[in-house]
Amino acid sequence: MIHAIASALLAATPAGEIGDERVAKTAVETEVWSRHLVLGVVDLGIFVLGVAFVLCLWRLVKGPTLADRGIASDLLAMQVVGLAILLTIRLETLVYFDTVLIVAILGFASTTAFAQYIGRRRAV
Amino acid sequence: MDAATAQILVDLAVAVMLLVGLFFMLVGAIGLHRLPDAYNRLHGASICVTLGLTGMLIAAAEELGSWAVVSKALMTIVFTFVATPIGSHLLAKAAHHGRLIQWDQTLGDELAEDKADPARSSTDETGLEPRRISEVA
Repeated sequence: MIHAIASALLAATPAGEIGDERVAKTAVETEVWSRHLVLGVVDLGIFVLGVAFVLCLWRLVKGPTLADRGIASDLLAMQVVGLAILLTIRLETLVYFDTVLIVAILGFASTTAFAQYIGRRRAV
Repeated sequence: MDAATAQILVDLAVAVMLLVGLFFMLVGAIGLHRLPDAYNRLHGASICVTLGLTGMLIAAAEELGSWAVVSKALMTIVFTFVATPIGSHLLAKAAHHGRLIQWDQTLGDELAEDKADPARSSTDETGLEPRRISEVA
């Protein structure tokens, strides 16, 4: 279903904009049986990351302290990075791969700011 | 080796690295959920980033294979290997500074003992007097 939506989105965009980001695959590369293995592992990975999201969100809501919420939000950013990697492999475009480095840097910056906030508050 | 065999080998390597990365991602999230206090939960967060994200980035670099992807993946791996321990250390230090309560089965709190008694930390096993950075320079 994801692939159908992505194909529709890619077909609807003008040719010059993100068509250049598509990964060119030859006929041999798309027809061997191991492609289905990789795509199945990617689909499993989306499910696994969904479970990890739920666990992190549970920790983010439940707390019980501010430091726990900071750690959970840091981990959520890293799982978004993992999801971007899975989408890059699944949809065979490079448009999502730029978000990997950016979200990683933003996660580190938010962790640092959160640590500053916790340390300055002096009572967790 | 023809093209199909090479492609099968690449795909198997991609699948294995993806599974390794996803395993550590899930283990980190379970650790964040199950471990008893915030200091212990930092273990789960760090293992999720270093091993899990690195495995998935290597899988993406193997799968896509162009120099744009490989260089970006390498940059992200180096950045996360530098930034994640720094972030975890900052969080733990700030939490300790804010007097976050430890798990009741934690064996000791040497940083608090050193803070309470400065003479305790003035000598280490070498017997040399530690100097401040301003004195060294």
